Amino acid sequence: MESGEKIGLSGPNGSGKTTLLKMISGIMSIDSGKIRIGENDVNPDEPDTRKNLYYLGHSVGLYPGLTGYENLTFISGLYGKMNPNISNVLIKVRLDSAHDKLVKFYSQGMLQRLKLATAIILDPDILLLDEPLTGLDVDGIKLFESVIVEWNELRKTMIIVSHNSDWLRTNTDRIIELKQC
Amino acid sequence: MPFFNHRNNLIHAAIAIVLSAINIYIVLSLEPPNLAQGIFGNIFYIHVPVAWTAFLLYLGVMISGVLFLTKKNKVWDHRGLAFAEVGTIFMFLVLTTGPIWAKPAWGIFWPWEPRLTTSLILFLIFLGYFMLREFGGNPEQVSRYAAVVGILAFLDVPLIFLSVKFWLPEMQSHPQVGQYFDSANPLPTYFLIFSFLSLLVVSSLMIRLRTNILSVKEAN
Amino acid sequence: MLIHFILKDLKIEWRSKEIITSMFIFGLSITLIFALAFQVAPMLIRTFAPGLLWVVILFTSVLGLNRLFSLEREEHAMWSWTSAPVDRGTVYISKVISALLFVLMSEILFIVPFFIFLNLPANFSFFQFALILFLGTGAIVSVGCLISGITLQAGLRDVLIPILLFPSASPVAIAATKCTGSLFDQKPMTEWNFWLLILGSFFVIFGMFGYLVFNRIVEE
Repeated sequence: MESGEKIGLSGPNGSGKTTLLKMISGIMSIDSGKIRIGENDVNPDEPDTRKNLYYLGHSVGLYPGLTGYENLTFISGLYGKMNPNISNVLIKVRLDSAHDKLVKFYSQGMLQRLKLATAIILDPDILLLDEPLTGLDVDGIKLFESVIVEWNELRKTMIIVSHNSDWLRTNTDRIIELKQC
Repeated sequence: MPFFNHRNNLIHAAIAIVLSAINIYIVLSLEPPNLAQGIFGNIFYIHVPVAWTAFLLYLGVMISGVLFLTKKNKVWDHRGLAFAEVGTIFMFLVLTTGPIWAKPAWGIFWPWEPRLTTSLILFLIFLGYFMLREFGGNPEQVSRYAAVVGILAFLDVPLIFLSVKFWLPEMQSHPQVGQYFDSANPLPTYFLIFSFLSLLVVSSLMIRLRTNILSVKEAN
Repeated sequence: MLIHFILKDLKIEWRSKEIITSMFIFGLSITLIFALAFQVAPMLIRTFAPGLLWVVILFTSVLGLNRLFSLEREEHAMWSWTSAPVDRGTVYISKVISALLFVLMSEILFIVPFFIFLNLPANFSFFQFALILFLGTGAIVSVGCLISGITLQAGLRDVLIPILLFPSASPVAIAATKCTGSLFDQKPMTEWNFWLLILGSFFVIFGMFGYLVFNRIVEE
């Protein structure tokens, strides 16, 4: 893969799309083979190799007992970003009204927007998006598409996993099909 | 290729059988050192070497665990499991021969003697270990968890031993052991060492066989 | 980063108060059962009290640890930090500190009713009592957080935590009971500081072990 590329990943259930993303992100250990990003191999023992990439899982990865704002502060702290723009980003994903609402009371679509907000705040070079469209309404999908266009202009590398191959065909540079073995 | 089709493995098994037979013969035919305990006193020659072997095997679990976590080679996971299984069989023998000896020696089945208590606690941790292996879920994760629990169990040994030892200070460890040895007659020491060696041969055979079975299963 | 994680746990707990409340009420209920079951011999209860206290603390710790780690499991919240450039050993240390704070907090709450219900005299040094509670609880949560970390993604977690924790923590149960008993009998500290040493070394050994292996535990 080239940097700045926008790649769609599709394949039947159980073909290992999510596993692949998890291995790239370092959540999952690698049995055999290597994943190389730039000069460095991905190694779960080296936290710094995870610095420039961000995994947006289809499960949530947010604390239900914290508010949206607190979750964003927590996650940006993990990446050493003391970002003052959290409120602005919340406005951008249209969650400003849910600023102080606990995440456990969020709807599915709101959760997806909040996850999008974490990716915008962290501003990583490589984005691993796992089923980002699930649960988004029409407005949400439009918002997401506009964010992707922005990221593309910033030359960010993206891997997007989706079941929706039509959407992938129109919105990504090329599609990699995983086969079940 | 099946394990016993290799000549070396057959030789190993033959040695194990011969040594065990001699060992059992010695233990059964020896004059009991203490008439009050009768033939039960001779279980000393089994109980003590079995306990040594059991602790050695659990040490093997810890070493395999460390190597598996650092080298990430599946073979250390198999060895760790084999050590744990065989070690637990030996630990079970320790926990059964202990009371058989304790009844004539102390008058009770279960003395809270430090070594025996440490064996019991380790045995319990390893029951948890097998539950984790069995019901833990995803096999790759379970291998790592089991390695950690195996190391944890052996790290616990000195702490358990020390605390049980000073817990009941009036409970001496093995007060009867002295009667088996005297400087004039070194024979009991030799019997003890012989028994230990024969158990080492038997347990190493069991571990090699089990590791072999696990690797074959993994390959399929 | 350590404080960042601890503050997160404290913030969630401050809002819901579910961990400390459930530990406190559970501790109170066990105390009640003990008081009823041992009512027959008010003099005997003095001898049993230190042991009972640590049984209550062990049971409530299991409950608290389970809740504390389910914070990370719900909605896969832990993925926020497993995919982040964060040293996972630090996360383990933060969990030990949060667990220590929560369990100590619940102890402070149920120890007063414990003394009142069991009619125990409180004529000892509170500073020394606090020291015993701190080291004993620290020892329990150091190995407890490691085991809970294992069960974070394993099946049967409600069962596995006590099954693995109780035997591993048996030196803590012995040492902490000995300390507390000697304190209740108003013995000078020099007679029982050996047991404090056991608690302290348990805390340090398993704390370091947990720090080292936590990375390998939370990987999927």
